[in-house]
Amino acid sequence: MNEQEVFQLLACAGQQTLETMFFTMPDVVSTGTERPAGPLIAASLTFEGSPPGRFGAILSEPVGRSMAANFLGAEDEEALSPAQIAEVSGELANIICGAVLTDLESNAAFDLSSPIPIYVPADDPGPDYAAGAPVTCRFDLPEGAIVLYLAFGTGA
Amino acid sequence: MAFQLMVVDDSPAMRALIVRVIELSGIEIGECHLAANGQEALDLLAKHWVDIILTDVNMPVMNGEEFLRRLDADERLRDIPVLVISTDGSEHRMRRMRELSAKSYLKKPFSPEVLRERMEQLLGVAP
Repeated sequence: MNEQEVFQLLACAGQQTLETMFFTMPDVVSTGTERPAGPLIAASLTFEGSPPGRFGAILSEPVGRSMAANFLGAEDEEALSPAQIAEVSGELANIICGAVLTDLESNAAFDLSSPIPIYVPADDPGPDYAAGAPVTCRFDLPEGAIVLYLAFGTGA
Repeated sequence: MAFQLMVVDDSPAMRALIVRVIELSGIEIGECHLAANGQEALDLLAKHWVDIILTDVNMPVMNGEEFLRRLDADERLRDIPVLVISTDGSEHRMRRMRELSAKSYLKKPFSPEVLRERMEQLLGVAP
C-alpha cells in the first residue's frame, strides 16, 4: 500500500472517529504538517504487529478541550481538568490508530501501547512526530487543528 | 425491568462515554459497576450480579482475553452476555474473543446507535 492510500485510510478513520465518538466534523482535511498555533496537546503511542510502528497526534488546546467536552458530555468545557483533556486526547489517538491498523491488516493482530499525552506550551518546540513519519493528515476545525502522524517499521 | 451493567475499561473517559451513551439510549439501567481491568471486574462480580458485561481487550493487570477465559471457567458467570468493545478490529482478535465467551464484538470508533442496537440484541430488549 502506498503513502497516498495510507493517507486515505488515516483521513477516513480520523473523520469517522471525530464524527461518531467526538460529535464533530473537520472543515478541511489535508496532508498539511505544520504545527497548529498556540498551546498544544500531543499524544503518542507505538504498535507491535505486522508492521510495527508509531502514531502521534497533535491537537490545538482549544480543540482538545472541545472534543473532551463532547466525549465526556460536559456542559461547561472550562470546568474540565487538564488531565481529563489529556486523557481524551490519548483516547482519540488510540481509536484512530487502531482503526487504521485494522483497515491496513484486517487479518493480523496488533498490540497498541497506552497513549502518552503531554501538554506543549505555545513557545515550546514540542515532540517532533513528523521526523520519519511518511504519512500525515491534518484536520482543520473551527477551534484549531489536529495533525496525525503515522510511521511504520520503528515500533516499540 | 432495570438491567445491572458492568463496564470494564482502563480508560475512565471511555467508561464515562459508554455509560452516558447507554443512559441516553433509553435502555433501563439499574446499577452500573465500573472496573479498570479484568481482575477488578472479577472482584466486583464476586459480590454483585450483572445482566451484561461490556469489556475492552487491551488493559493492564488482566486483559480482556484472560478476563473472558476466567468467566468461561466459572459456571456462575459463564452465561452472562459479554460485549467486547475494542480498538483492535482484526479478524484474528475478533475470532479469538468469540471463541471465548464474547457474544458480540464492537470496533471503535462506534456510533451511539450501534452500541444501543448491540445492547438491545444481547439483552433481548425490543427497540
